[in-house]
Amino acid sequence: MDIRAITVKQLNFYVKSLIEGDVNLQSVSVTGELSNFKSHYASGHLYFTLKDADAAIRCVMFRSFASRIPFVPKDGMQVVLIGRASVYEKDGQYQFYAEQMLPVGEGDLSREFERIKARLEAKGLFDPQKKRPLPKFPQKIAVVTSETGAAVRDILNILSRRWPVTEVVMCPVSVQGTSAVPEMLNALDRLYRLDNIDLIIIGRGGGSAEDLNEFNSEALAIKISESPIPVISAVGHETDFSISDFVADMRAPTPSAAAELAVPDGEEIIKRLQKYESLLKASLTGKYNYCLSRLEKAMSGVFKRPEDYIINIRSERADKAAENLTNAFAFLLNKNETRLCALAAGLDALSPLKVLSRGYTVAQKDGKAVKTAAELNTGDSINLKFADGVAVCEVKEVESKL
Amino acid sequence: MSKNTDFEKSLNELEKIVEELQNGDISLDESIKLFEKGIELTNDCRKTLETARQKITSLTEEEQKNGDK
Repeated sequence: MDIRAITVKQLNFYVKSLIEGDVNLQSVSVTGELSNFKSHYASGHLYFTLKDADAAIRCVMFRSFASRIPFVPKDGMQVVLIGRASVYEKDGQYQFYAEQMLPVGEGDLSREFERIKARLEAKGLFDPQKKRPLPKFPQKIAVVTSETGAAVRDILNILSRRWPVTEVVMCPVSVQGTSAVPEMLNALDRLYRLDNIDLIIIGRGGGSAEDLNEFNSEALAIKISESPIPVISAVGHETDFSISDFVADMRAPTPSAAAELAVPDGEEIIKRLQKYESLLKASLTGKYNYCLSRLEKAMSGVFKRPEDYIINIRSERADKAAENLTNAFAFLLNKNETRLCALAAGLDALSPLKVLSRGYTVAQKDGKAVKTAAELNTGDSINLKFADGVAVCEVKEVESKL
Repeated sequence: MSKNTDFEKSLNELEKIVEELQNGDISLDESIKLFEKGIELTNDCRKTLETARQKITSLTEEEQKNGDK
């Protein structure tokens, strides 16, 4: 029997030439998971296996190509390899010669992100004109986030420290995994049906890109855009945006920042109140001193140079001066104290209520203070105003000194 | 009416009063009235802030309250 045998080398060469002769195999994109990844060879070439659930293929990537991979490949990564299939003649190993490596997950995620973003933008959902101002003093804030994360603690702490007047409505939801989006949609739907919520904070603390990905959901973005009340999106990643950030009325870089944006600062408001109080006191003191000095001037005119007083009274400002005089004088009479005392006693003492609390009363007729006995007639009904109440009195007799 | 709506209203009114009182064209009587109202509002606002304690409810509780209305 004369068998014509070929050498192993010839066999491998033949198979190789068959494979290389097939143009389909000379530029192939193949996807799978990296395993047995080795990059420690001095040569700089990469050796690894690409596998999926059913099969595997040995791969090599030469240094010149490997240096162009835009990330650090690791076992377990889903990648797309572009290259050619061939045979390594020396050991008859059929393998893949990769020329390019792309990450699948991330690539897909970021492509999907851009697609959704473009679609929503085209619908006008990111329109700056659609952004509503946040309420200054929200009565009720709904917080849509995970019950267990740091985010909810941060938000509650800051809201309570800054503005405890605001009520918080907790809406616990999953913020990652397949149930996250349906749970958030459900919570928002239920919130939209309530009529007493002023602001919604939706978000979560920081995490990996995959963890935060539920906030890139198109359905969630559309639901947020339908909100009847302002929404703050607070997805904890500082630098990157999620789709929900674009569509919300306000974007906060972290949940804590969202809480800061949501309510006024109580301390600042207390300072403002203090400022108003001192302005009120200063204004009244100023007014009081002004009236007092005019009164003094007029009085000195009366007693020292009656003719000046008369000229004054007849001047064009007579009406105004007379009015101020009467007011200031009536006020002084009510107080029944010396000017020095009045000034020294400060503003609290200026208040007519304080005067009443010391035992003085004000007589009022038809809602106006009675300043002279001559204003009263026998039979008039007057109110005597005390600090703690009013006595209704009838005038039996009027004795005027004038 | 809620505490916050009251607060916002009071604060706005207070701001108006401060402005009016600083304006010189009002009588002493009117000044005193404004002053008293202003001090009252200041005290109200301060009290609201100082006595407030954060209230937390759940969405479900809120829905029940809303349904009862």
